[in-house]
Amino acid sequence: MANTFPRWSNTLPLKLLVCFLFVGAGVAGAVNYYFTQKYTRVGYMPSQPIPFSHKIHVGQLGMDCRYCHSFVEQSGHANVPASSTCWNCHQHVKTNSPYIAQIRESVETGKPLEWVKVHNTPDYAYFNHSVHVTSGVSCVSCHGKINEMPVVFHDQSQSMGWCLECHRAPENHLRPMDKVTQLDWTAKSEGKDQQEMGQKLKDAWHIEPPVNCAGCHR
Amino acid sequence: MRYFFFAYLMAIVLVIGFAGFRGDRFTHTPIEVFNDMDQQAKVKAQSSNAFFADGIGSRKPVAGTVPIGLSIATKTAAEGAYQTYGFTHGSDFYNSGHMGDFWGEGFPDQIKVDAAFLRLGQERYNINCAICHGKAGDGKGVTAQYGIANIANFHTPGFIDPKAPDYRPNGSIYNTINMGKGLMSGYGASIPVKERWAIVAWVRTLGLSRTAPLAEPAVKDAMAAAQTAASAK
Repeated sequence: MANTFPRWSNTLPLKLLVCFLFVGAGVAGAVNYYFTQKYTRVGYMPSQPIPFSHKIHVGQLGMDCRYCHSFVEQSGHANVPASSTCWNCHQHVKTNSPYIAQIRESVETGKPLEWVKVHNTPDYAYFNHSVHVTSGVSCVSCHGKINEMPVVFHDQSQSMGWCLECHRAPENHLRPMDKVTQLDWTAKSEGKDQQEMGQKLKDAWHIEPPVNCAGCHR
Repeated sequence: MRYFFFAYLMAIVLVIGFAGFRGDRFTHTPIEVFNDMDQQAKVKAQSSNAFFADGIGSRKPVAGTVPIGLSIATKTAAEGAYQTYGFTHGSDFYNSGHMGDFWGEGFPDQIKVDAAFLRLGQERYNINCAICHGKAGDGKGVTAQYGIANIANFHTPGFIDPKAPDYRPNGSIYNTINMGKGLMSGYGASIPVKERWAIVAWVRTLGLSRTAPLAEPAVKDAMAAAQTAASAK
C-alpha cells in the first residue's frame, strides 16, 4: 500500500510550529516596540509658524525659561508668550526679518500666532506645571534639553508609566529650587549624588507625589 | 522553510523601513489609535475654539466691565474679606507707583523689605531684566551686542543720588517696569505687582553696590568672601 501522506509531511507540524512561533514573536516584538508613546510621541517635531530657536535664545543668549513662560510657577498651564513678549526685543533686533514682520502684525492686530503644541497631555489627565516647578522638578526632566534644540521636539515619552516612575521615586529628579530652569545643571556637575541630594530635598520639602488615580484624573 | 525565513526577514526590513525607530524625528501629527476623551470639546488655555467668531479661545474682558481680583477669597465679604487686586490695577501707591501727582519714594505699606524680599528681587531681575540691563545692572546685558541702544545703567547718578536732576524715585522705577519707558516695553503683563516692587528693591541694591565704601570692615569682609567664593569655582 502506498503512503497516504508524503514523506515531507512528517516534519510539517514542527515546521508550522516554528513558523507560528516566529510570526508570534515578531508581532509581539513589533507591538512592544511601536505601540507606545516612546515611538508615537518621542521625536515629534512639528514645523512652527516661526522657526523660533530655543538654542539661540536660551543656549546662546542665556535667557531664563520664565522670561517667556512667565506664569509657569503660578499656573497649571505653562503659557506660550504673548507676541508682545517677542516684541520687547524684536522691535529693535532683526527687524528686517519676514518672521519678525509676522510678530509685528500679530502685535498690531491682536491676532495670535498659531504655534503648534508639541507636548499634549490627554484632557483627562490634569497635569499642573506650577506644582512641579515649585517642588524642584526641573524643566529638563520632562522636556529634555530644550536649550540645545533649534526646533523643539518631544523628548520624553510622557506616558502614564513614565509619570509614575518619578512619582514613585522623586529623589531621582528633585533639585534645588534655583536650579530648576538651569537645564545643563546636574547633581554630578557639583560633585553631589543625585539620589542622596534628592532624598534630602524630598524629606525637607515633604514631597509626597500622589500615586493614586485621583491624583491626576479627577 | 528557507522561503519562510526569507519572507520573515523581508517583513522585518519592510516594517522598519516604513516605521523607523523610536525617537526618529517626524513632523506629522502623532498617531493616536484610541483617542477617546484625549481631546475633549472644552475651552483650554491658549487654544483655538470654533465657538467664537474669531476662533480665539482665550477671551479678552468685555468692553466696559471692571475686573475683580484674581485671588479667591477664603472668607465671605460679611466676614471682612476683600478682593485683592492680583494683576489688576488700583490707583494707590502699591499698584501705580504714584502718590497723588508725584512718583512715590520708599516702599508701600504692603511691602516689607528684608533679605528674602531682596533675593526674590534678584531672581526676578535676573529672569526679566538682566537680558538687557546685565546681571550687575550696568546696562551691558547680552542684547546690547545685538543693537539695543540706550539701556539704562543703574550705576549712574540718576539711580543713586537723590540730588541728581534725572533721579528716579522708586515709584518711577516701578512704573517703568509696569508700563515701560523710551525703548523699553512694559513688563506689567508678565510680572505680578509684588515682584515688580522686589525688582525695584534689587535695582536699588545694584545701584548702591558699587558705591559701598571699601574702607568699611563689613564691606571689606563681604568682598573678600565673594572673591574666595569666585576663586573656589
